[in-house]
Amino acid sequence: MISLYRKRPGAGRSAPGQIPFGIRVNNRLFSYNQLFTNPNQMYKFFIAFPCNWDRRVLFKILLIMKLTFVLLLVALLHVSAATYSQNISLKVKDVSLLDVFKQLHRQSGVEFVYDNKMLKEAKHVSINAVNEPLAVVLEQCFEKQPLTYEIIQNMIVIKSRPADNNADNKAPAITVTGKVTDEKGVPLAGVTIKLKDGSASTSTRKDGSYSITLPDGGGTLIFTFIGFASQEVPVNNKHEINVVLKETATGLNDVVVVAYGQQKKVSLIGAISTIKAEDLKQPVANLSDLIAGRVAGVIGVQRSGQPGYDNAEIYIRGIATFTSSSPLVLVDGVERDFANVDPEDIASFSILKDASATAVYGVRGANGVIIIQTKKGKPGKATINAQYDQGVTQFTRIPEFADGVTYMQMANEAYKNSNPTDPLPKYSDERIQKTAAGTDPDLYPNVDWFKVLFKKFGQNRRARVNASGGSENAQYYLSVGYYNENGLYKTDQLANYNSAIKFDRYNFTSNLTLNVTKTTKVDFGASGWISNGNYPGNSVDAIWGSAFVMPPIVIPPVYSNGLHSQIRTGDVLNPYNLLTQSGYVNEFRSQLWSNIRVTQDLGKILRGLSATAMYSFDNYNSHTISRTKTVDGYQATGRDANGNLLLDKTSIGTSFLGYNRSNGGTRQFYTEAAVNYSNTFGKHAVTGLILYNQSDREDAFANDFISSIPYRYMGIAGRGTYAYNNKYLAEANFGYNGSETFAPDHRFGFFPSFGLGWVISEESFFKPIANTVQFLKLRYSYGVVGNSNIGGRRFAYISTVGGGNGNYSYGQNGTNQSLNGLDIGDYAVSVTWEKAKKQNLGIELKMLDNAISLTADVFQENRTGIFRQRGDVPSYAGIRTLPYANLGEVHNRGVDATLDINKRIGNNWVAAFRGNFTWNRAKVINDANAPWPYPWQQRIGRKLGQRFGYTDLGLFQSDADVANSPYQTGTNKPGDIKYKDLNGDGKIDNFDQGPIGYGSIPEIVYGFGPTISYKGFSIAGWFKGISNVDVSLNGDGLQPFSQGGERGNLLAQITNRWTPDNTNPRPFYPRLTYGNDNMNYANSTWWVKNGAFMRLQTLQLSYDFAGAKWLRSAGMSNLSVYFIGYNLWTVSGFKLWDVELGDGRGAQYPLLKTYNMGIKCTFK
Amino acid sequence: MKNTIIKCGAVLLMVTLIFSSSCKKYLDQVPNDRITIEQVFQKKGPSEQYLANIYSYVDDLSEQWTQNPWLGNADEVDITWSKYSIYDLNIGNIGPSNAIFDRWGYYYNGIRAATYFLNHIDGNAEILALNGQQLIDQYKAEARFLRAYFYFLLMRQYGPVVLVGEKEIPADATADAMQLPRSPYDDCVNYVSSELDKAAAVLPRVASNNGQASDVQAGRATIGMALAVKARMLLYAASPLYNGNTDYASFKGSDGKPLINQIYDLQKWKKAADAAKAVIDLGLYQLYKDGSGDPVKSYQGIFLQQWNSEQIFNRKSNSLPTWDTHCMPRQAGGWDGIGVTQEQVDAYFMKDGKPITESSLYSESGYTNVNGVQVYNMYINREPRFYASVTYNNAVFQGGNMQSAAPISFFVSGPNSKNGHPTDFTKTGYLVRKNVGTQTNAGSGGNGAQQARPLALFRLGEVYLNYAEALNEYSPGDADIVKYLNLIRERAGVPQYGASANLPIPPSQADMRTRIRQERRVELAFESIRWFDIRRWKIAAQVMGDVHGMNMNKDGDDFYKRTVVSNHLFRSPASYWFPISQYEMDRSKLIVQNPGW
Repeated sequence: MISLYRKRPGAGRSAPGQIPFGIRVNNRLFSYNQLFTNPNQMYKFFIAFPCNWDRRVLFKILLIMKLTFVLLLVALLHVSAATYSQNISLKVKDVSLLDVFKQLHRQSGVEFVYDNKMLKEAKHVSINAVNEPLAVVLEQCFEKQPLTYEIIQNMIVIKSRPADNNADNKAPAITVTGKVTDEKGVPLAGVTIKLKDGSASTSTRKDGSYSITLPDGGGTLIFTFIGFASQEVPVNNKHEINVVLKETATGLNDVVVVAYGQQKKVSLIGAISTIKAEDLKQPVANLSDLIAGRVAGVIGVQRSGQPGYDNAEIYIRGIATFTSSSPLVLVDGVERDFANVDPEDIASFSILKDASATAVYGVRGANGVIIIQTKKGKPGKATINAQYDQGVTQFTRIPEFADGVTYMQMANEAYKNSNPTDPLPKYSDERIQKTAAGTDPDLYPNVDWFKVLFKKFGQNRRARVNASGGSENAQYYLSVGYYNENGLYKTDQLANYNSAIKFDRYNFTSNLTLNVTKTTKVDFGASGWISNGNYPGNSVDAIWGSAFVMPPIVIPPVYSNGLHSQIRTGDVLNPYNLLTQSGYVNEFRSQLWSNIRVTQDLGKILRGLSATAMYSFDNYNSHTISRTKTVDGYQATGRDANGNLLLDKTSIGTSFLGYNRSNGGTRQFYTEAAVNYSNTFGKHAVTGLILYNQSDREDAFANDFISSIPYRYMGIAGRGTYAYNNKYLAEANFGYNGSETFAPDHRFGFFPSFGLGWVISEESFFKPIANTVQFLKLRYSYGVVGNSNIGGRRFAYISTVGGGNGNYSYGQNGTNQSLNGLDIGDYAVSVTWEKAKKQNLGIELKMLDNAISLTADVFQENRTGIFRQRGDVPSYAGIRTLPYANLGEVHNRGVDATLDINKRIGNNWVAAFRGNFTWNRAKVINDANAPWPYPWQQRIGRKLGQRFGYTDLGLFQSDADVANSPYQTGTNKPGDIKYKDLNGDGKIDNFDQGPIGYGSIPEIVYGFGPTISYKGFSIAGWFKGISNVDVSLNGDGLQPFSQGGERGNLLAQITNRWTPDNTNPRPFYPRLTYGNDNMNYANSTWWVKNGAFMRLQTLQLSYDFAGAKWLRSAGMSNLSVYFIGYNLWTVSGFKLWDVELGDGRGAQYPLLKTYNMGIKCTFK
Repeated sequence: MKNTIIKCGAVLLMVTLIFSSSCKKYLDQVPNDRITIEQVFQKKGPSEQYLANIYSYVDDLSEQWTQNPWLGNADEVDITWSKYSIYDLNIGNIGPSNAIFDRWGYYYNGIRAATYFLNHIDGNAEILALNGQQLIDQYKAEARFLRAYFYFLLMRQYGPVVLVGEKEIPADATADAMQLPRSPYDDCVNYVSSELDKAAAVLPRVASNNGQASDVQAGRATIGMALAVKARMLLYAASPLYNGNTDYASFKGSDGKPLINQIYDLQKWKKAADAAKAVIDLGLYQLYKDGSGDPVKSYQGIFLQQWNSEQIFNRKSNSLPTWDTHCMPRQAGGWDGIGVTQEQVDAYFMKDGKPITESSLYSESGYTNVNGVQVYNMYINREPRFYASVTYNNAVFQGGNMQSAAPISFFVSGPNSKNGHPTDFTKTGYLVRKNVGTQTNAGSGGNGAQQARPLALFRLGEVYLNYAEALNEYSPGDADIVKYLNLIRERAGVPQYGASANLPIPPSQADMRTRIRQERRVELAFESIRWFDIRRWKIAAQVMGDVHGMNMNKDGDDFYKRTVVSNHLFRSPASYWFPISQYEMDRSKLIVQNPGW
């Protein structure tokens, strides 16, 4: 797509990447200061050529452009790719200077600032220039004029020529020559070179060289060029002065990837935010873990750190529906999963948030869109990058368990509380003493299960090599990568197989671009990965879960005689056996993506027209091979006379590895064809796009007939944009597409959107503050987007037949007839997609010499027609699966903002700060359920995901307090949690559950980080945080002695409990009980803890050897070494486990902390 | 400019043409020959599968800790695990908003499926071709029987219910159009009773295929099943809880009519007696007796002998092996947690046919050496059904993973005690032995063997007792009363009333009532009967509350002390019926909640 824009005819007027949208805003404001501080000169400022042209003028200009400059434009197109130029072709005879200015403006976009009175004194000029630099033409204009000019960014300010005072004082003249290039060494043609406080001026030739004759060798030369920072160089009698001009880093020339194309950032109306590819290069395998907090508009949390299964949940602008809220993710234009994309291969990462940006995706766009483009080759010498990273990993935080002695003491206390009449303690003093002594760990174990299960450190590493380069006609980007991660589980040295948790991944990417003819371009991309994961025979959930239910004092991990321990029950399993004695699971997954795109420039038919077509084929496979077993388990009952263990066999294992497999796989075809139009007519810039696409994805291992049917959609999309003078922007988009999941008559939907933008800083009234604020844009968009990914069921328009309640058997005397049941599965209902009406108001601001830039958006979304299972059907209707309908409605609103501060201090220091912030709150308007009996129970009107539970009033203080309080189920005594009776009926039941806390998905996600660099050194930090979120605690292990016996581990926090002597009014635990005696562990405010946190997600120290002489001799063009610390430090009030894991008891594989050293070299 | 427009238009037109010509087919993907509900009712096999699905709602009583509360929430059994909802029910942690053991929607699913079947099976082309209208009529009668049975299951748990009628409520109707009220209990009884009669008029006497008795169809509805369900329902309907129970004077439907009849009607007992007699008069069933004449084996065989002559209504697929494992001691690899209460132990007669309170044989002191094991005298000289039903301390057991018979000790230092396992131990010092398949070996250390057998939901023994009870109310002194009561005792190996001067026929109606109730409690123990009996007799408030067992914290003599082990809370009037869930109350505008909730 790049080529389409590169070759747009607008480039004829100026350079690519510098299309006129950006010109005016590039003003350097000190120039105005200079002008204003000169009291002798009174200027009137006119914005040249205000918009009063009628259609005839427009048409005339079209004609002129068509007839006079066709050749010129073609020529320009070719050179423009490599270097900047502002060449002019102009043939006029004896015309006013004003007319010449007009022509120059049209051709180059350059603005003239002048005083009308002054211009009247000017002489008519004749010019005959063919493809001459602008500066050369200007020299011709002003050669014999009483006027001179100064280039200030993109403005040419006309002044009267100062009187030549130096005529008498003649010093020896000097001729200075040299060459002007940009930072990449590309020669710059047309750079204006002027003597400060003098009349001498010239401009560079095509090869960047210049020659200027100066009255003496003591002056200062000023080099100015549009889009570049001007430079002053003292002559000091030198004869050769070579200058490197720096491009002004305003970012306004940046191009942003948008739906089916790209746009210049300045002219953007849609709410789109981007992540720099650099920010994604962190020591994690899964790209999805890095998104939240890195970019405005994304709400996300990561719930597991298990290698290979550490996908984060990502929601663009939060969750606004009851159905799927996952955004549409497109990699190189095709719907693909990005988790395993190597960040090194990413060229751009855009998040499309509002309707204007996403309406073209129609029924797929309502949840926002993520667009990732992989790198492509650039013409030039081959560049090879090689990189190696080695990381050491650790759990961020895991729960701590109480030791065996504490366990037994607490159990005795709890048992006494629940069974006050029993004279015997649960555990005798003798047993406690023997456990404390630790002399017989077989009979008196004292096990810290986490120590048994986990190693202290794991590791991850990655290596990558990529190469890019090519000629004008063919460019390539090739990359291979390897990622390896070892988890923190221990293994049994004696087992002959490897149950270690391990994840390897090999990536490759290749992108080729071929310019087959002058107007035809072919892009070919193929990329893929293969991953190989090795896991214990039991799931992470099972292992962690059993560590939470196995108390420390029942069995040792293994008996000293080598026999495996297991207690006599089916649901409290030895976690060590689950981890190390259960065999192993090998899982390999692979993915291949391929796409080919042909782009044809149709400029011959109509200038600015081009067509493109793409076809892609993707394939994904996964194979899970389980070789699992169980071991015989024993439990010691004592010792015989000889001191040998007496063991009961408590479970019979399979002893040998079994075999099981499961497979998954999909394939996907995607086809797209589009016609693009882009042209400018003077100040009017117009683009258009019509696109057709279709996709077909099939699940090769579907579990049922319905899901085995290919998933298809098709549609057309269109976009038109219009910009007037880079000031007023308008855009309209539509998607018209269909999804196979709906009834034939309701398949296609039309999703329009429009947007308006106003670049206020372009207005004349803005000029007074233009020295503080360089750029200010307001934009608004409104549109409708759909979501066909409505979950629940596919093809809801047909009824299904299902298995019903189950089977039934008949037959006696050895006969058997077992019939599987059949029943109506789902009733047919008329359904359609969800509709999201979205509004977005955004402001973009750059100020203080572009050092600060701020983008802020407020948004509002009404999601209607959410596919919901009807909740208003009485049960006596007997409908097994409640029918669905488009009944739900959710309103979502929020803000997101990005702040960028970038300041260069002196030549060597750069300080930068970036930050982003996202807040959203979605409110349930209709959840298709019957209303609840009490207002505080209502879901409607509350935020989506609102938590409900009891409100605690602290702990009961006395028996009288219990007696005088509303009835609570079970035995309640001082020290138990007292709840609020919301409906005042004298008893605590579910009717008293109201909204508590926020919910498990944060409302606020933010990130920020400073970067400081000095010469080659740089230090960068990135903090990520979430807020307005909470964690609800529950489950075995958290709730002590929940089932009244040796089931359930205890957290170390157990000692912080209520006792008659404890004066703390809010200890962590209420009165301990043995069994589920009362409502202490019901969902309540007592157990909802603030889940907000801020973590130092990355800390990066790097040193760049760029420019070191020895690098060249080693054949390198660059070398950098760096350290990255990931998840190093977390600030949170929540201390039990890694707070990001969320609700429950922390029984998940936690997030990882990584210390990573890396080296990267570039060969050129 | 014009050119531009024309060209753009041409391109647009082209794109649109391509698009519109291909799109229709591309998205039309759902094949026409997939299975549809219309197809199901045109074919024989799928229709039978549909019918099997209706059957699958038949009560599986073998799971008594989260699915059925009928044992653990009565006074006969204490179920040990606090993680199961039976525990919550016993401590009173139940309510409309926490409707545990809620079966309201579940049985209505079965009712809807049956109604749909009745309304759609006619004209099934394949069945008509193969078997003719006769089989369709039989299947319809089966569905009609099942629907009536599901209504009965709802009524016993919730009292008056919603009668939906002959048409299923359309799935796409508005919520307002779906509203129906609860019908008075008597209306429900009359409706179900007439439905059962209708079904019985068509159903075969024995499971049949094309009119021929067929083993492979065993388990399908028969006349006996319909009449047995009717007999039990009418017995319930005649009982004090439902028959003129003025406690429910204010329990009215949304139209203001009382849901429970306020006037006692003696004729209801007659109907109940007649209905029970009708089952007996079918002549299809006999009490099961073991060939050896050993009453313990006879009594155990009622459940363990598959498809025996006493069983009327069996559920073939069930989870009895799981029940077995839960009942077995840990020594046998079991979960050791279905504990018989002391109250139930005390209910068993002595071998002289008298209750422990009246028999001279009963003693609560000392031990007797039985096969080398000291057995507490409380367990000596009891009736055979006690030994067939209860595992007490030092009772001999063999099964599960026990290779040989051994005494089972519940002493605190013993292998089945509260020590040595976090959660799996009986709190009462007894375990259920009745209907425990000893060949099941699926517990810890087990080989996974399962002793599969049908679950008897209705059996002739209960019908005899139903008959005796109803007759004693309607026609005290009728000779049939003591006849059928004694038939039960005879099989159980207990001396019959009137057989000796020591054990006379109970002289008064009240005496007889007491004896019948004692007999029901023992004979029908652990069969999900007691829970309903203590409620319909309105004695639940007296017999529930604290339940007792032996002292599990002790060894030796100290063990044999009656100890409160648990409390099975009964709150009047709430505990008579289950609450209708708040979920349903919120959606059903015409439904009134049960009293007390």
